[in-house]
Amino acid sequence: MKGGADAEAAQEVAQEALILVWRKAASFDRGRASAATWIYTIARNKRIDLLRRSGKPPIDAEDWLTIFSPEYDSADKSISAGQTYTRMKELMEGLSADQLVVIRKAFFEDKTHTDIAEELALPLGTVKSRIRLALGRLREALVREEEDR
Amino acid sequence: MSRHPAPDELLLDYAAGVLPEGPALAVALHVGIDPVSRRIVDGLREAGAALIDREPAADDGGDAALEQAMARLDSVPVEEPPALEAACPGFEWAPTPLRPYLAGKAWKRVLGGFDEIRLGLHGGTHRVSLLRLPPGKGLPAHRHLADEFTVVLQGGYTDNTGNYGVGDFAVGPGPEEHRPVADPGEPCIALIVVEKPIVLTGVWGRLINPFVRSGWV
Repeated sequence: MKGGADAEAAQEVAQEALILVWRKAASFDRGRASAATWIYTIARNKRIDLLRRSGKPPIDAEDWLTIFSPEYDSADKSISAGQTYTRMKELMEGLSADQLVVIRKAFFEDKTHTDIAEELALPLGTVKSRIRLALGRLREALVREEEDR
Repeated sequence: MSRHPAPDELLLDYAAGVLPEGPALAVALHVGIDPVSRRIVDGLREAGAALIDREPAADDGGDAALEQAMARLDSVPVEEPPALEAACPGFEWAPTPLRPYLAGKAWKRVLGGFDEIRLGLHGGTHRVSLLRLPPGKGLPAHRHLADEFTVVLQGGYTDNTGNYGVGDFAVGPGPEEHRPVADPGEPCIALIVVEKPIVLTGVWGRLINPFVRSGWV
C-alpha cells in the first residue's frame, strides 16, 4: 500500500484492516458498497490512523460503518454497488491524465483539493474545474445506471 | 434533489476521507439528506477502490503477514452491527451524524436574537455551531474572511444568493456581505462551519464584533 508508509507499516495496516474486516463483517451492506470498496476503505482508514495526521477527523475513522444510517438508505438501494464499481473502473480508464492525477492524489495521498492545488502550483479554480469535469462524467455514468435498470 | 448541492470538490474530499472534522460533518449531513450527492460519494468511493485495484501489488513479504493475520482471526469475535445513536430528546430533527455531538447540549440565546449551540470538535481548525433562527428573523449582516459552510437541517432561509431548504449546502459567498433571513414556518436550524472568525458588518456587527474576536459568539 502506498502513501508514505514503509513496507513494515504497510503490512501492519493490511493485517489490522483484515482483522477489522472480520470484526465488522456483520455491518457490511452490499447495497452501499462493493466488497472491494468496503475493504479498501477500511484499509485506507487504518493507514490514516497509523499516520496520525494532525486534525484528522475521528468522524472518518469508521464512518463507512456507522455514519450512513439505514434511515437514509431505502430510496436508492436497488442498484448494486458491484455494478457501480464496474462502471467506475471503466470511467477511470477514460479520464484525462489531468483529471486522474487529482483523484489519485485525493485517494492515495490523502490530500484535499486545496492541498493538491498548492502541490501542483495550480490555481484553486483549475483544480476545481478538473474535479468538476471528472465528476460530470461520473454523474452521467450514474444516470445511465438508473436508466439501465 | 437539493437545489444547492455541495460542490464536487468537497464531495471528492469527503469521499476520500481527507476533510477536517468540521467540514466533514457538514458534508456528512448534506450527503445523508441529499440522495444525488450520496450517489456521487458512493460512486467516488467505488472509483477510489477501482484505482487501487489498478496498482501493481508490492512483493514485500506480504504473504507471511497475511498468514499471521489469518491465524489471529479465530480469536477475534465478529461484532454485532453498531446500534444507531438514539435521537436526543429535544433534538429530534438532528440527523444521525450530529447526534454524538449533542449530548448534554442546550440552545443558548445569543445577542442578536437567535439561538446557538457550539459543538465541541476534536481538532481546532474550525468553529462549528448550530444556529436556530425564528421565522422571519435575520442573522446580523456579515462577510467572510474564510470559507463558511452551511447545511440547513430544519426550515429554510433566504439571502441574496437564493433560497435554501432542508439538506441544501451553502458555501460562504466570500467577501460580499450577506444577511440570511429565516423563511416563514418552522424556525430555521442550520449547521455552520467557519474556518476563521467572520467579520460582522452593520449595526449588530459593530456591537457584536468584539465578542466575535474574543471568541464569545
